[in-house]
Amino acid sequence: MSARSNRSRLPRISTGLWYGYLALIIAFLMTPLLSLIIASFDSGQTFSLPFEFTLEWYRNALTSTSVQSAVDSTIRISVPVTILSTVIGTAGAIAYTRYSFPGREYFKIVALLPIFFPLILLGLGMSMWASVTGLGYGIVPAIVGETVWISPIVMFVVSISALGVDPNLEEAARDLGADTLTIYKDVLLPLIANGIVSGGIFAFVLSWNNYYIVSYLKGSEITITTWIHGRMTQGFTPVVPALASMIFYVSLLLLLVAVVMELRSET
Amino acid sequence: MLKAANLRKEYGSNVAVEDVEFEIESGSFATIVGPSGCGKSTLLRMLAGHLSPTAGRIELDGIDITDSPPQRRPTSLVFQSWSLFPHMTVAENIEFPIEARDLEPNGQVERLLEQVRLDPEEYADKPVSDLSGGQKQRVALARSLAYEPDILLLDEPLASLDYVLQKKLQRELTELNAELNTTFVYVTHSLESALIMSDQLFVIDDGSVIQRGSPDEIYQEPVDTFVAEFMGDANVFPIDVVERTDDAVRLDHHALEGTREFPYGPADRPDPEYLVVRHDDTVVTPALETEIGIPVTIANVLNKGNTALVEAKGTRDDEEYVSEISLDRVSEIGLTDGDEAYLQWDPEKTHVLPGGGS
Repeated sequence: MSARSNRSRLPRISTGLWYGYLALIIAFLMTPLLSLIIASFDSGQTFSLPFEFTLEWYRNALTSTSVQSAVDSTIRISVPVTILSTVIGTAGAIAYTRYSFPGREYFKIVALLPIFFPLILLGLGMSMWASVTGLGYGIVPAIVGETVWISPIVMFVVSISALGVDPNLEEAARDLGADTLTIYKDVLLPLIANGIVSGGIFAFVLSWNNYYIVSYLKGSEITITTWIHGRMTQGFTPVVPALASMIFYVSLLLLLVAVVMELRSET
Repeated sequence: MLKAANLRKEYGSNVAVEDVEFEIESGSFATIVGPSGCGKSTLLRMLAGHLSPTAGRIELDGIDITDSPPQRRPTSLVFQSWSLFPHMTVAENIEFPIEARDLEPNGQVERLLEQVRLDPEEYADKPVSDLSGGQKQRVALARSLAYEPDILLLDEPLASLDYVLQKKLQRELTELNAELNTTFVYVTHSLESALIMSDQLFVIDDGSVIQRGSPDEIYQEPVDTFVAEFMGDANVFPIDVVERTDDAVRLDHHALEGTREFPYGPADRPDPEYLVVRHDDTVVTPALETEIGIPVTIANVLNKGNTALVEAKGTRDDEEYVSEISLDRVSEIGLTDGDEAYLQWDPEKTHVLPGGGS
């Protein structure tokens, strides 16, 4: 009897915690985002009631040459970062999950370490290093810097799917006459393809939204996030919430793609 | 002929396989049998080329294949977990070893599926995730055969199937071996499958081959108590050696009513330590009727379906013994718990053996 009542009470507590957690997410994460989006549609110079709907700020954002050039710089950074960090992260994930080699655990720790550094310090360190090594500042250093930070995250995402692959499959393939190239092409890569695509989407979204690393390394280039940050501190216009909302829509759309792919691979 | 010479595998200071030697005739069905962790899977993986031996040689028809990699070795391994490619259909799995060698699939899929008794119409285009365990096993077998190996290595491929299916597939494997010109090397911890399927049996413990021979030879003449107990449930009596000659030994034990001579040899064999008699070679009767037997008190009679297991306690040594007899016999004698009786057996059925194993 007592065991029974304990059992029915535990889920009630954890259900309560779960809803509390959701409520906090909504209060502290969703509400500010939502107010940003609402503000982007409001006709006032600063957000105030009563609300009056307009698309003017979006139109301004899309036609502004400074915004266009910021989007252009961002894409010129994000696309190479996505490609590079997906390749590097996937290679790291395959090395870590499918091979045993001396120092494998240290490899994991060192490789994943950049994820846990405060971005502002990572950016500062990279900035100093860019100067010391003579790499300098601009699009290429920003690509290098973001790749250093994002590759481990891709490695982490791809590792999750690579760990789910039967460890005997490569051996089975080799046993059946396959060389290394065939094993990768026909067995391993198709099986972790979903993980690689998810990793790539993560990489793009993280690069797209990145501020700290890019702000230290960009030199004279202006990206979307540094443009927004600049306009926040001086010369605020309602185009800021509109553009901020737009980068959020892009991220949201890509994350939805990742979730749909994940769900489809499970069925 | 597949030949292993002084094959050895060490992991640090741990010797997994210790100087194993064997010869397996082409086309035969050989089984390597032993308890978990005895080194039999390590041995099989060395034969497949997935592990390099620390020392020794593997030869196939006189050619040294010790260092040839798995993809260039005429062996194919059927994994315990089957390891089918989960993103491919049944047909794609079977075509894999054909295409991996840059050959064109040419009707093999249908032929192989028929060989492993799956209807090609129904199964060829199925994703492997839709298959049951037994069907996966058949596809894994077909895929390995598509590699056209000289040696098919099987690592307990039936272990995770239910009993009825195991029996069925055991029979099919034996038939397949007879049909094909392929040597089967089968690894198992299951004595029963070893006895049913093999032409040649290797009993392994602690990385060494303890006994080799036909299943019948090994069953009838186990070399020591480890093999005897592994090959079937048995009663074991520790004995004293009174006198030993080149081909016989005189033993002392209370079951013998004094001492008794048994054939035992050759001269360099270690001294015997035990009398071993299988449960189903003994009978329980109210009076001593044969020359060898011990007085016991019946502790328990368990109905096994077609036979009964009679658990009894030795009156003189207080040890537990078991006799497996027919149910008819139990009702004939009218055995009940607490009865005084004799557990006895034919002297011919006595195995006199040195100790062994762990």
